[in-house]
Amino acid sequence: MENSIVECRNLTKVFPGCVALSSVNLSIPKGQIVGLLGPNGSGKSTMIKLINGLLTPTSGEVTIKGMKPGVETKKIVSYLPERTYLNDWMSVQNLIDYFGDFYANFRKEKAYDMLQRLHINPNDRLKTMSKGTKEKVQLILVMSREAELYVLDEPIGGVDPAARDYILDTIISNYTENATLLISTHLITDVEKILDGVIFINKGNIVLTSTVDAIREKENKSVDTLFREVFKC
Amino acid sequence: MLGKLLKYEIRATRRIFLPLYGLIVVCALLIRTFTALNLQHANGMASVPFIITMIIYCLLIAATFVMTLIVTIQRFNKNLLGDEGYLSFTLPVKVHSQIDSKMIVSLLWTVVSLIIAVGSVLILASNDVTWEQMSKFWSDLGQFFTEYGGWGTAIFLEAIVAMLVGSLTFIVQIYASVSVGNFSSKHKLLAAFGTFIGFMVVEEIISSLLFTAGQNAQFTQWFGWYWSGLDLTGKFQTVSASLGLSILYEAVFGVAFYFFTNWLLSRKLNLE
Repeated sequence: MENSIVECRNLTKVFPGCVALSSVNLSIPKGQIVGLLGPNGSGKSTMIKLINGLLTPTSGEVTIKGMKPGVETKKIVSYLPERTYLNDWMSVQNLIDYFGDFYANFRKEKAYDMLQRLHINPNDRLKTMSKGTKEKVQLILVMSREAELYVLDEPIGGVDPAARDYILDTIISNYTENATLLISTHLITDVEKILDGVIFINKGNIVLTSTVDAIREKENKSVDTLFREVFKC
Repeated sequence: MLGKLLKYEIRATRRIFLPLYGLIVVCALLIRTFTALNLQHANGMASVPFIITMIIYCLLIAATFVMTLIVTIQRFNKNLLGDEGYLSFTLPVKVHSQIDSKMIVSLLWTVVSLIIAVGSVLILASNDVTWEQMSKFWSDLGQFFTEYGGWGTAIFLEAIVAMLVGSLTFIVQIYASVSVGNFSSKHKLLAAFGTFIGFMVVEEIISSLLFTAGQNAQFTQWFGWYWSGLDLTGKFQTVSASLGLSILYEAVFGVAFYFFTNWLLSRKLNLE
């Protein structure tokens, strides 16, 4: 489709002993902030890793701007994984140079600006940082790219509530209008206010796709309330 | 992009090797100083510094070669298949460039380690006698080259190429094994080790099949006759040709491991 950036066609991923994604068909529209919401183990990270080419689909396919994951898609996708993927011996400054070397759309001045506002010293090594600070550094690196698609896997999970608002502001103010944001999280109340659309996923199946406005108008509920109803244990 | 990958690969590994090299050179210089003071023949406590430095020196040399092996495995395993792989595999570079950069840098450290080891022995042991022997060796070698011309040089170069190709094949065999081991959900390194042994067995079987096929009485007889009929140049030519063949043979395995690894990492990648 013209207006979508990510397309999944019968996307299936099977791990030994479990079906992580079961024949998912999905298209994520351009220029929106979309929440990928689901309980733990629902297939959120699997889907995100497939988009980034870190997993190979068992069957079906996923395309970004019509292309299968590869060098060309990696140029335009900025990915924040749910884990620390930076080595511990580089300083933040080294990492900024690293990102600047490999990604043509990386803006160093943006990164330094955000570091300053979050009081992170560019000369510090990752080794000396707390888990939360590392996460902030990763988010800064990822958001300093002028990408067409940002894929953020649990971007605020390990960060204190006070920093969450700043980070969400950072996310919104740093993405350009034509870019698309896919955020996976289970901290729905925190992100609800920035979302345009939601995808509910459970046990490898898409349960619901909707705009946030439609949920509010039709169901007269917040996304958080609806989530609690759909995934009631 | 390969240039950038190489730059960061060297940065990531030099912080391990450069200190080791530095310590080796310092130890070699110390040993040389102690020898100059004749401490190695001293009685009682006076010989202790010499003995300790000598032990440390030997351990450092051993550590350097063990480290080249460990770094070869760990850089591939950690930087591509561990958490760091989440970044390495989302860089806009071809998968083979990642393999190339790691392979080239591993080979580089193997060669430099060898040079440092030989160089440090020269530092600690060189004296008038050894220099004399060394210069005699080089002049002999020079004479050897002038006498047997092209073929002498060819064999010398082939020996170097054989070492390089052998090292590269060994490195990509490790990469292929670690990539296969990664498919195991538990005990990844154990599976990698098992795969490595498996590859060795397969290589051995193929080699022995080829070798036995050529090794019948008729061939041996023919070769003995052929060899004895050759003049010295002819013998050199034969040695050079068989060295060339064995390089080619080794390279076939290397290329197979390389493409196998590349295929696994680009078509079958599943990061945990």
